[in-house]
Amino acid sequence: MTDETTQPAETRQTIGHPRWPYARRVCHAFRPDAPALAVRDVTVSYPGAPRPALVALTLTVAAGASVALVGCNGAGKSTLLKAIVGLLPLTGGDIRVGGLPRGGCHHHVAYLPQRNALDWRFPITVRRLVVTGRYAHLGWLRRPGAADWTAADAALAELDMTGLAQRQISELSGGQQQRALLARSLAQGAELLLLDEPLNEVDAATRSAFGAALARWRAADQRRAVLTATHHLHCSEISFDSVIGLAEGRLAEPAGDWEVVR
Amino acid sequence: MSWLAEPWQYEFFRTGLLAVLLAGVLCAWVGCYVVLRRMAFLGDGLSHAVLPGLVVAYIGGWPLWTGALVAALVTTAGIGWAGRRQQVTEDSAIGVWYTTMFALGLVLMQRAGSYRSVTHLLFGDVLGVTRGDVAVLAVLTVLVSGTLWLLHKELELTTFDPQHAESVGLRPEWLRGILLVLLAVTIVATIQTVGVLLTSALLVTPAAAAGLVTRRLLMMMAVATGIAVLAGVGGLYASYYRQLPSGATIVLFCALAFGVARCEAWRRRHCRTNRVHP
Repeated sequence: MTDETTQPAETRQTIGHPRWPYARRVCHAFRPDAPALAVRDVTVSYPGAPRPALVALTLTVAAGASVALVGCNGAGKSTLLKAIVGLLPLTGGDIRVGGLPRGGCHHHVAYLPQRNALDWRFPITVRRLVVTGRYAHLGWLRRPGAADWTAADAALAELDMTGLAQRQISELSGGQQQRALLARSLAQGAELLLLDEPLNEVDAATRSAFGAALARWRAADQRRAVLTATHHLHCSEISFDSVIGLAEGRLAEPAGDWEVVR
Repeated sequence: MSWLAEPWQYEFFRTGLLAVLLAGVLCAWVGCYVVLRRMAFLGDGLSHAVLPGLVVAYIGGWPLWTGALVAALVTTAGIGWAGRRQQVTEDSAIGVWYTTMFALGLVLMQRAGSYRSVTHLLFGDVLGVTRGDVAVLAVLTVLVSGTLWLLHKELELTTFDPQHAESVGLRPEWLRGILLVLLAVTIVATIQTVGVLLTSALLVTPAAAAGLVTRRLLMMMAVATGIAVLAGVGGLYASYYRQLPSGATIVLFCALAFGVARCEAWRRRHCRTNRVHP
């Protein structure tokens, strides 16, 4: 694991991190020469499972790339995304995000989980849900300020959800929930987005709004990268530069002609 | 209106009223997280599990809250440990722990010499609260509500989206641990008011009622506080004038508020349905 002493001097300065960050690490900028994501020989096992969910997996996502992660249910797509963002411990191997160890700075990676990961009956508004994307910038004891609410409002506008900002999240449809989650990820100001089956069971209008917002987000900074776990390569409104296939926790040849999605 | 003022001439009523107000605020705030995190069974179990600590403190002549706090923290740690190791499900761990602790408390009560001398531990005696008890309750209320205020955004996030919380560097299991300690302290503080058997009602019922008629967490906390305070005051007056057991009367007032909230929630849903399908 690289610590701060091995970082180049030009990237060692801190970048607007909170006074009392949730994780006690110094926050660094991405290394300019590093890929957005480098996964090397990563193995992940669930307790009690007969075999690892990921087996010596190695892959790279270049800065600025949009990569699809495809595979059957149980192939390890969600496990990989959770391992990258730090939700699962590694049994072996190493993961670097922008050249930094995972969890090196929580600002940089935004994770959009599957919808059922949230308690949608919780009594908060859509706007408050979106501003939770700013918490990595706030840390302990700081409440969202004007700049954070402005970022949340801008992200809602980007997803055409301004009119729903004061709705309770339980009143959203499935597609609106997914757009709200993307708005939260955009509000976070990350440089790498991890999307876990974002277009499952949503209508064409939602897919279109989702894909357009994502394209604008990438266009605003050429180094922004996206890794999307999906079953729907051919009807996806998200454009991909490359496709990575997974089967039983290992790299596999993606099925079908993925060139059509370029 | 003289009936409102009459009980105020008695010190025990004024002290009891203050205790009820503080316990109401405390239970309502913590109760909202208990309800939203579906920890009602844990709250119920914890309130029963403090009995042996209370009895030991009673026998030893120590302040009751010290024994209760030790028993509550031991139980909290035991349930948390069992749940984390995932050798048994959490509800099974709660079931085993609280029935064992409660049974131990009953045995100790028998050893204390007389059930009658310690039955107020089971049912509470708000009109027997002393100024010292109220001072302890006030300190615990400030501590618990202050912690909830400071950690509001983290507790909120880890309640409805623990994965996002972890992805930004929070440790949801630590926040759950903090909440369990706050819950234990709240139960200890409230036992003198409504007793071991009814504490979980004061914790859960106002928050559950508020959840039926509100759409924001802070509003839910405010309405739950209002319900708990009104039920406490109403229960205390009813107890004074009708010679009813104070703890049980307060809980019945809470249940009445829950019934009203349930009807209001049904009316709102009915009106909404009629607007959509006239």
